[in-house]
Amino acid sequence: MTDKMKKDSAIPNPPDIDKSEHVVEQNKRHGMYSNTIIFLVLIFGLTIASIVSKDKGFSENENRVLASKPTFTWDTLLDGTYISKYETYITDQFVSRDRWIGLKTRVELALMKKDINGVYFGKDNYLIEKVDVADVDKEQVDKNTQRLDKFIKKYTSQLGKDHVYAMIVPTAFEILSEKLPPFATGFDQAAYLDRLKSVLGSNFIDLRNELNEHDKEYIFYRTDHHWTTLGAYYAYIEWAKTMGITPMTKEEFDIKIVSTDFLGTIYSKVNVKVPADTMEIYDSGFNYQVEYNMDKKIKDTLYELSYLDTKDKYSMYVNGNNSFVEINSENKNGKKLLIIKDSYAHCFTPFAANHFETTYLVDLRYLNMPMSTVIDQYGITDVLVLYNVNSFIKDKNLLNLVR
Amino acid sequence: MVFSSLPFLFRYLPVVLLLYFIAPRTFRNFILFIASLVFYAWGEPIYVCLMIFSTVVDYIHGRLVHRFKEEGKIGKAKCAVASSMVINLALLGFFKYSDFIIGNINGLTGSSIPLLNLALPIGISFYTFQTMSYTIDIYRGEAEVQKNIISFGAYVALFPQLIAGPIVQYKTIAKQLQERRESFDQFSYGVLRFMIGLGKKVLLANSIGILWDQLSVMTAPNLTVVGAWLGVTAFAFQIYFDFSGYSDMAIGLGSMFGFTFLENFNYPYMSKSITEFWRRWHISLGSWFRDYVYIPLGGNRCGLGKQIRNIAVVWLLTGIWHGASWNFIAWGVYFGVLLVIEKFYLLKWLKKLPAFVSHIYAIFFVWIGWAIFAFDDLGRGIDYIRSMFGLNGLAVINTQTCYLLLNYAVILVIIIFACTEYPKRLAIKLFGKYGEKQITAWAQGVFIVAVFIISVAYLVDASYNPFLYFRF
Repeated sequence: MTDKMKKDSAIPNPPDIDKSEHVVEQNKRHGMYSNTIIFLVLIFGLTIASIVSKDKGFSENENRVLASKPTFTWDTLLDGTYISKYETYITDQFVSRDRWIGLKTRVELALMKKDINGVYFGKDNYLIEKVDVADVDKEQVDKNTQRLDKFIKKYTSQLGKDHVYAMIVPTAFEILSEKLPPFATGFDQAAYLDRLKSVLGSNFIDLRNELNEHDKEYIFYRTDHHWTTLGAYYAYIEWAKTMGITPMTKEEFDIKIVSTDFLGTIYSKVNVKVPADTMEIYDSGFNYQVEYNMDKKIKDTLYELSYLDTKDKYSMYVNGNNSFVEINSENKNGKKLLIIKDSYAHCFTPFAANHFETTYLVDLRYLNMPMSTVIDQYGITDVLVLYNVNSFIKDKNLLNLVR
Repeated sequence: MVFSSLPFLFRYLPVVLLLYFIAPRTFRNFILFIASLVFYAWGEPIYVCLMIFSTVVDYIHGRLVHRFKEEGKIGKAKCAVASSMVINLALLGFFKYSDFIIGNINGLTGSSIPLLNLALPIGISFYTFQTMSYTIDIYRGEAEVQKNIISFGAYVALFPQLIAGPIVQYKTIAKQLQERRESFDQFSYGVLRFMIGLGKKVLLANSIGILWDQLSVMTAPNLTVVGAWLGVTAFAFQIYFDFSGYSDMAIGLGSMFGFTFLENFNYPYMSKSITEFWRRWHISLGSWFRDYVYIPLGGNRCGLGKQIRNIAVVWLLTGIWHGASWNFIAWGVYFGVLLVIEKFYLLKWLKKLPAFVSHIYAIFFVWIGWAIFAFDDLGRGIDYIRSMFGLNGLAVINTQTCYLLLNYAVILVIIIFACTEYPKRLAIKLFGKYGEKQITAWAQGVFIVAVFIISVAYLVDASYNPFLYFRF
């Protein structure tokens, strides 16, 4: 090509790049030798470490089973699934995985990012779950709202207006909103709770006033998406008032601190050092017989303290997530309460159980049984639907509510 | 496989480096060839056959062209070149454009020919252009014929530049295929370049890409005018750091194995005109179209009318090359028109303007271009551009936009600095051009190694690591 053509301005030409940079041989680049050696040590070292280190099954930090080595077949190789599984396997089993994730979080914090992996870094070391508006499936929200409405209407007429309630709990995002970073946005819980209030009327227990009144107290964990036992206690007060029951006062409980090193689910998303949470038990002194999933093994406590030695400490309340729990108390008043719930109910249950002869916990995520069957079969007298907003709007298992 | 992944960094690369450097020199092309096939087959276990087919076809055509030329049968040589072009373009056309064509036929005539729904073989747009350049270069006498099919295969499949360029013209590395001498200096440079590229892709492109993903799906009332501009800015930086990061990694890896590839980017966002932008952006593609389309068509030698036609052809093809969809064609045409206007009217005015004004001018039009480029659905792209100018009745700004601005403020400052020449100038000032200032050299080392380690941390927590060129 000629020089004349090179000047042709509408067509790109290679710029004049300083060629001397690429003729490396002539120049000494001592400064780079150390980089190269470190690079090689790192890629070879980490490769070997990654291969040698033992595969982990369950990640306590992330609360999920890590990918294991896929088994090789020609079919999976050709359709590409073997490779993609193998890539997940390498990423999941990468040596010191938790530390790498923690490093990433620290870098992002240094870059003054206000949310990382769906977690807002709030004031006073609060980690607050972020629910993006774009991630909320509006159809699912409508469906769940309608199902809840249908359920409440059906059983208020069957069991009586004062015996069926829905308590959809605002989370720290709503109640502790002044701890959020400036301009933080997310799914509008207040608007949704207003909607529930207008749909369900007096059968909806709105906890906003009660919780807002105590928002200076320790009502939500800083590192976990749950409320604290104290938060659940205030909800219990509100619920009891609505039900016409006299709630027990704080003084009537023996309040015990059972853990001071609880790092919960939100912490796991970011893996960066924050002060741990404290967990409490409000011991009423009553005795219970507790049976999980109809397994005929009767326990005499609402708490499985062995979980305190693991990462998943929150599961100490009524043994964590179970499809069906039956709790019999000393209070032989013949009343039977059904709580249809997510895990927010776990630390709430010990308060409620004192007021009923039997309390049943049902988790629709694990129990595939129509609620009409449960209510008829067990002679339920009272019902409480207890979820936190974030899990309620996303739940895909509410069909059994109306079956 | 992609460079910015743990399997590449901590399985593939160490093994390939080890095999390559313990092997005697005569086996090295063979090792590169096999390694490259594994690299490609990793993500495309079936389509690797297509690439091998393409390699064999062009190898034979190269030999044929060479023989016909030696025998003085220019006509036959021309036929062989044509045959190679037809096969290459047919492959590219079939796999990349058939559904686009069928869709348009269906749309125009109301017919309902079923779509083929073929997955696009990764890198096909890059390697078909490379193999075409080979046959043409031989015909033109600009390169020697490659008689060793292993060496030729190593050129076509060469994994550093296989899936995302730069488009290496055969003549630029023909010699290196046979005679290269790897050296520790060049290897070190390659490592440095690779680590910089990895950081650009993983730390900068991915970080700002999340912002674009958030904003691109927003509609009123969440989207605002400021948000729309923030979004397209995020996209512009994402695609630049993603693409140039890949090119850096490719050049770096090439350098480790003793190759010298031409540069692909030269700080495009420093441009003061669209003409300048296209001399700094994806240089290997522009050069390819110049050498194999524009100049053969007559370039600027056959009068104004033909020159404008040639420019139009090049920019239409540039647009289509980027993807089988109308928005890419519109994008190519948009730049074609801008370049013609600049060439005949604007450039002389732009030169008289203060630098910052012409700079803003260039950025403005490039940004509008990215809005066209970013949406496959041309209608959505136009709608987005309307939003940028407040024509959709959007608010200027809202809480969410403020949050995003605040959340990405530091990253944006870093990114704006990083896409200029200043970091390099600063580095040269501090460390010396070849790291000869020993006292500060360690600081550069610490910085680069830190970038690498942090990149690995981002990859381990890889919730977001897209591959942008699957369409190219």
